[in-house]
Amino acid sequence: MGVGVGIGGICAFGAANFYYSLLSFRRRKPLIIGGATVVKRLLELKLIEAFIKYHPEADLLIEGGYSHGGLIALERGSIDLAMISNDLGSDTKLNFLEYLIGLETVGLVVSEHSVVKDISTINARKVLQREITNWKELGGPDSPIQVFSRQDNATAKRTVEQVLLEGGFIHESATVLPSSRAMAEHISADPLAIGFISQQGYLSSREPDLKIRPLSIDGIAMDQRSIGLGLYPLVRQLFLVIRDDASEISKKFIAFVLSDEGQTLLADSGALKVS
Amino acid sequence: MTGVQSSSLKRLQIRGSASVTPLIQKIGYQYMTDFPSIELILSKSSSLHGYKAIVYGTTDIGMVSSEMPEELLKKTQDKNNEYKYTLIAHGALAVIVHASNPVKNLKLHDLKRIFSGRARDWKEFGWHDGGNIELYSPHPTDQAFATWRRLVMGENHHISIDSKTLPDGRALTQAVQNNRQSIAYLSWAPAHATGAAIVRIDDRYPSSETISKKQYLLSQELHLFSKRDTSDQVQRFLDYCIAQQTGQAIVREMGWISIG
Repeated sequence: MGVGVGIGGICAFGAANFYYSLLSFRRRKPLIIGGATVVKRLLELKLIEAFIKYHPEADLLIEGGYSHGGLIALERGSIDLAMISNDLGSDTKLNFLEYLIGLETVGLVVSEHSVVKDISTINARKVLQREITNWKELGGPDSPIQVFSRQDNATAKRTVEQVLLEGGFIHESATVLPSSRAMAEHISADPLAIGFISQQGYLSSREPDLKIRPLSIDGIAMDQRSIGLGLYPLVRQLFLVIRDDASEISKKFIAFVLSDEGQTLLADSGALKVS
Repeated sequence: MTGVQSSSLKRLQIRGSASVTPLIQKIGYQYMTDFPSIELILSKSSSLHGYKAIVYGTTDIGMVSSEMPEELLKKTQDKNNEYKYTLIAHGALAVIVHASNPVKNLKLHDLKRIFSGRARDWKEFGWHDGGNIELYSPHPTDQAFATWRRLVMGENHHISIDSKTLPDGRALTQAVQNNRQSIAYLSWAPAHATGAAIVRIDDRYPSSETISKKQYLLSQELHLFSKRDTSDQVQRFLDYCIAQQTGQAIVREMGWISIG
């Protein structure tokens, strides 16, 4: 298609234009993205493929790691876009533009038959780290708590460990399940079980035969209002950051992420829309 | 969990000061209850983020509790009329001591020396057998901590490591009640509500009047910052925040001083 455009250039505008259009076709626009792995995964599921279709000139490279590293690389100019998966904090560079692109949220789930409906942040930590092992400490029956977890690379597990456990780890005795579907099935079948599931996993497992329910945390229900306002604790805000001297292709990427189409692709990949 | 996302939802983004955040969370929750077709998304950070987000157009509404930093002011000076401030609440910090403490007035400069640990004995301030000054401070995540640093300590002075950190206003007022030699700072509302012994600062006592007129030195104003020429959706939320029946009722309920 690019060659066709070049040849069209000859016919319509003469040799000088041909030279120019051929050059511009060959000149690929570097777009280097670095930072939080959770954002990288989200972008890679659907959004990047769609962006490249619209902008084949983009020479896109994306690398995962940590939010902080992404910001340092952006400041040094070694990347074009930084990915952030935590609070912005109070400090910022004057030449950084931070765009909120989505929310990632996880629910602590129990069977619909569980009598426990709310858990405090402190008790939730203790349950996941096996310092509380019996439901009676949470106002439930005198029975052991079955803790279900996910593989180390599951986004939901990372969110629980980073946000709820503040960098701590879920106890190794927890039973590891391979998918959010498996999680929903196990929790549904066992009124003594507790686990966690992403928003996306929850919606996709909302079938009549699966009886699961998210716990409220510190009295705050997991609803749209408390998630959006940051009252519900198990939420990560996802940002993309550019500098005020960002390249055109970087700005186009941000614009696409925030467009209706971009937001829908991110929602299909498991995030909540923000614009 | 959340319902299916409908495309008729209108989303507004709010970003900025941690001091303003709890108030806007509460008003915002009520707003979404009253207007289910609006979804508010709030990012807690700092006043600088609140200003920047509006100047760069990355967010709809900024939350700010301090003045625009110099560096950003330079960038915006020729287009300052493009932005507007909506005042939503007044507040202040109070300094409290034990009821038996004869010291009733301190200068701002004294407070800096006391809380940085350079003035350590009450006798410097006229209480001859007062002994050591014992310091209590809110937790660093408390809005009062950051505000104190900005209004009292300044860039180059830090709160003494000998100060004891307590989680909230109630714990602070109680601790001071139980310790004759102590001094603490906290948000004005809990200090006022519990009848703690509040010290005058530079001869001004904090009251609704001296705070809202900014005669009291440790006064704060909470603002929403936005484009002057803003969308109807944004304007409706701003109006809701300043209306006496809605936003301002929550302002009073949360212990801030309402406007107007």
